[in-house]
Amino acid sequence: MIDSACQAVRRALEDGGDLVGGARLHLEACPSCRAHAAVLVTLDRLRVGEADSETVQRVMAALPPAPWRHRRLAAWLPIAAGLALFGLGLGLLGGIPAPGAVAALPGALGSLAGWLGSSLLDAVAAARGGAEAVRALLAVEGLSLVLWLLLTAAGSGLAVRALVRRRAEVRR
Amino acid sequence: MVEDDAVVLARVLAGDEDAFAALVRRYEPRLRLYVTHIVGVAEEARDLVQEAFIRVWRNLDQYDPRYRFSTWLFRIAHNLAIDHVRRRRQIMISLDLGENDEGEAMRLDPADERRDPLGNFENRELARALSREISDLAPAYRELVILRHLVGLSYNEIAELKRLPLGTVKNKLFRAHSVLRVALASYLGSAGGRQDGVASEPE
Repeated sequence: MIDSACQAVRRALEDGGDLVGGARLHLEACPSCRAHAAVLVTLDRLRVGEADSETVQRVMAALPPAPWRHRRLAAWLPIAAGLALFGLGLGLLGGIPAPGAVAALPGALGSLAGWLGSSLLDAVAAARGGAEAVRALLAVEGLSLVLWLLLTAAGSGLAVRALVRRRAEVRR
Repeated sequence: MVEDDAVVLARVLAGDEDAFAALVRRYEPRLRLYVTHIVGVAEEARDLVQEAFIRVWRNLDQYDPRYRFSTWLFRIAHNLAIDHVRRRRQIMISLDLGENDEGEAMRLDPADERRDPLGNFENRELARALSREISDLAPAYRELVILRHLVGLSYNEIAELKRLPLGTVKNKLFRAHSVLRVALASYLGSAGGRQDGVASEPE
């Protein structure tokens, strides 16, 4: 077993610090700690140098074109596109809008929202009308007509698909 | 004067792509030594190291500067080497980098004396014994000794690379040094022969 003084001295040696005072005296008096220091000195001489120029050239020649250049460019593209659109908008407006035009902007946005709302209501009404038409057809025993329409659509689809496949095979 | 890795990386990303050569020059031999330790075959290690540099190059803009560049590079090389070994389905952990006629096994490149880690040892007997004793260490100790003394990573770099607490790295290296002290006692003087320190260190 090593004593606490040996432990402290060896820890200090491992950490690469200079030994002073009692630690230095202990090292001089303790053969085992001197051997520990000798091992560390010996191991510190094991260093690999730098690569030769031939090796460096071989590795450098194997490097592909720097892909991160494109990635960095791509990162800027959305900003560039936004700026371009902003510029285009300014160009179409004939420059920075006058304060009066800017003041009219909330009203214009309100009109746009109204138009979108009425369009949505129209779409809902159209869907409801279509559903009512199908129900009326079924009520007058038009089920066979609906089935005939569906089968015709499916058959036509299959025929078109077969034609496209055959054409692709001929091309290959 | 050696430029800091971060400075070199900044130059590369700013458009000076040739500056990357400084990093290759700095790390290639150490990386090759480490990868050879994992895959066991020097020629395969050479190709894997080249692949590691290519991967680093491809993802240079994604490097996280919170970590050391060396840690990132060595981890990429480590993963490549481990994948390679798995593909081969043959785990070879060896320090044998091409043994010469005198039985010295740690040479990185047998054709190049400058790249021999033992090249500056005048005492060839000590060099051979050191090579042998490091090879004979338990794998967990051997890898840390290689990373610390051959690859030249700091304790902090090893802790980051191996994802181990700093204290564990220090303790394991302490134990490894104690084992080497006992094993190399006859080369370093009789002082190292006491069987102490190896088992008494807390984990």
